[in-house]
Amino acid sequence: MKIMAGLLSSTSGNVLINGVDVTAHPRKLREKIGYMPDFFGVYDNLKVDEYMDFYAGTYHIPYSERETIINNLLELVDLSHKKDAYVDTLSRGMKQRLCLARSLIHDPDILILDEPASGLDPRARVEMKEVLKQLKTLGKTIIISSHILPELAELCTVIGIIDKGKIAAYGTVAQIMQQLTQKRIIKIKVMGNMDQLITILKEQPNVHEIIEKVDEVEIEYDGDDHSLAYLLKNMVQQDIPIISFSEKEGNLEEIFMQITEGGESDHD
Amino acid sequence: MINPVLRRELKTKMRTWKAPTLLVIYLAILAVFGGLILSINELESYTGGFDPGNALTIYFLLAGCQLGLIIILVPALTSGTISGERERQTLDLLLITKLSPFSIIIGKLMASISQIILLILASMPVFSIIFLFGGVSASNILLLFFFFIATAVMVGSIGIFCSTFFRKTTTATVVSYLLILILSIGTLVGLALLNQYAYIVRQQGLTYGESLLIAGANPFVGFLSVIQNQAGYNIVSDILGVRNNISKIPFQPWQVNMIFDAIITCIMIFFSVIRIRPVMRRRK
Repeated sequence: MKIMAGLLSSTSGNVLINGVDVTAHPRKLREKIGYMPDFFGVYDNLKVDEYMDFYAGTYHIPYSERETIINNLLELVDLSHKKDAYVDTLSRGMKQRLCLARSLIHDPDILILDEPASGLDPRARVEMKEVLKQLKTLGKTIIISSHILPELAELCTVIGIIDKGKIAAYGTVAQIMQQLTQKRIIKIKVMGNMDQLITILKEQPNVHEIIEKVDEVEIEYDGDDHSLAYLLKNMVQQDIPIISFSEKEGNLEEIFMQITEGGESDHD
Repeated sequence: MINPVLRRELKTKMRTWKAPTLLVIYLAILAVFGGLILSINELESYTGGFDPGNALTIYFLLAGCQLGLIIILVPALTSGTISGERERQTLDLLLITKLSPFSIIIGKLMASISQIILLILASMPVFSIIFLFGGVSASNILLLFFFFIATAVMVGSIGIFCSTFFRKTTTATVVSYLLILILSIGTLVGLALLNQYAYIVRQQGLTYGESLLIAGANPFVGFLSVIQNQAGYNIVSDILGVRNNISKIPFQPWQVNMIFDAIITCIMIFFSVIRIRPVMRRRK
C-alpha cells in the first residue's frame, strides 16, 4: 500500500496508476491518490475544521474554496457536529472517518485505504462501510487492504489475495470462489417430506454429495448455471413443493485459508 | 499563501501553555541576569549609585546572555520537529500531499524561528532599561538582532537535520546539542591546539586568516566581533591573537560567521530535504 502511495520504493516491478509510473512521477500522482494509512496520528491542539484546513493547504486549495469543500466532506463522513472539537479528543472511529475525509480533500480519483476497519468497534465499522459505499457510488476507485474478510466480500468488485508477497488469487469474489471450489453449494428447502426430492437429486450427475438437515437439503453441485436452472425446472415439474432454492454465499475466509494453505501468511 | 506547515505550527504552538511559559521563563532569566549585573555595578561604584559609564557593558552582557539562551533553546525547539511527526505518525500523511519536502522543512524552520523572534522582541523592554543611559544606536541593535536571527536559523537547521536523520527525538536532541557544543567550544579548543601545533612546526602562531577560518564558525566569536565593532573592545583580537588594528582586515569575524551560518543552513536544509523525500527518483 505504501508503495502504491509513493511512500516506499518497490523491491521489484512498477506500480502504474492510470498508466503513470508512481516512482517516476510521484508528484503528478499525488493529486489523483488519496491515501489513508493503517496507523496514523493527529496533531494536538488542532480543531477538526482546522485539521481539514491544514491539509487543504498542503494541496494548495485556495482559501476561498476551502470552507465549502470541508463542510461537504465533514457532512459525508458525518462529523459536521464535531467541527469545533479538538481532533485528539475524537474517538478512534471518528478519527478514522476524519482521516478518510482528509484523504478526499483534493477530490482524488483513487483512494488507497490500508486496513480502514482495523481497531474499530462494530458500529464504527458499519459507519465506515456506509461511507465507502457512498464513495463507490460517487465513482471513486477504492483500493482496500483488510484482514477482515467478510467486509470485503460486500464491498469489493475485484479482490486479490497476497500470500508471502505474491498474488495468490485475483478476480471477482465469485470468480475466485469458482476457481477454487469447482463445486457450488445449493440449499434447497421443501414443504413436507424430503424423500422424493432426495431421490431426484440422487439421479443427477452433477450432484455429488447430499447433506440432509432438519428442514433443508444441501447439495454440492459442479454444473454450470444452465444445468442448475434445468435441475430446478425438473423438480418443479415433478411437483416437489420447493420454498427456497438458493446458492450458499461463499465464505471468503474459507477461500483465504485454502489459498494460503493455513501456513504462516502475510497478506495485504 | 502562507506555508501551511508554518500556519498550523503557529496556531497550535500558541494554544498550549508551553509558549507563554517559555516566554515567561525566558524573560525572567534575562531580567534576573540584568538585575544582577545592575546591582553588582551599583555595589562597585564609589558613589553607591549606578554608573552610567557601565551601561554599555551591561548591554553587552545581557545580549550575550540572550545569545546563550537562543543557542540553548533553538535545538530544543527544532530537534523534535520531523522525528516528532514520525513518532506521531503524521509524517506520511504530510509526504503524500502536494507539499514538497522543501516546504515542509522550511515551514518547520520558520515556525521555530518565529518563536525565537517573538522571544527577542519580547525582551526589548529589558534592554530598553539600558537604552535609557544611551551609548547604543538603533543600527547597532538592528545588526545584533540580525546576527541573532542568522545564528538561530543556523542552529535551527542543524536541529532539523538531526530530526530528519534520527528516528527518535531524544537522539536528535542530544546530537544537535553535541554539534552546537562542538561549534561553540570545540572550535575554540581546536583553535588553541592548532595554534600550539603551528608554533611547534613553524615557530609562529596561526595567521589571522587561518584562525578566522576556525573561529569564524563559532557563534560567540561572531557575537563578540559584532559587539567589538560597536564598542571598540578588543576581545576578539585577543582570542585570535592579533594585536594590530582589526578594522584594517578585509573580513570581520562576524561577517565570516554570517557566511558560515548561511552555508551551514543551506547544507543542512539540503540534506534534510533528501532525508525525508519518500521515494528516490530513479535514474533514467
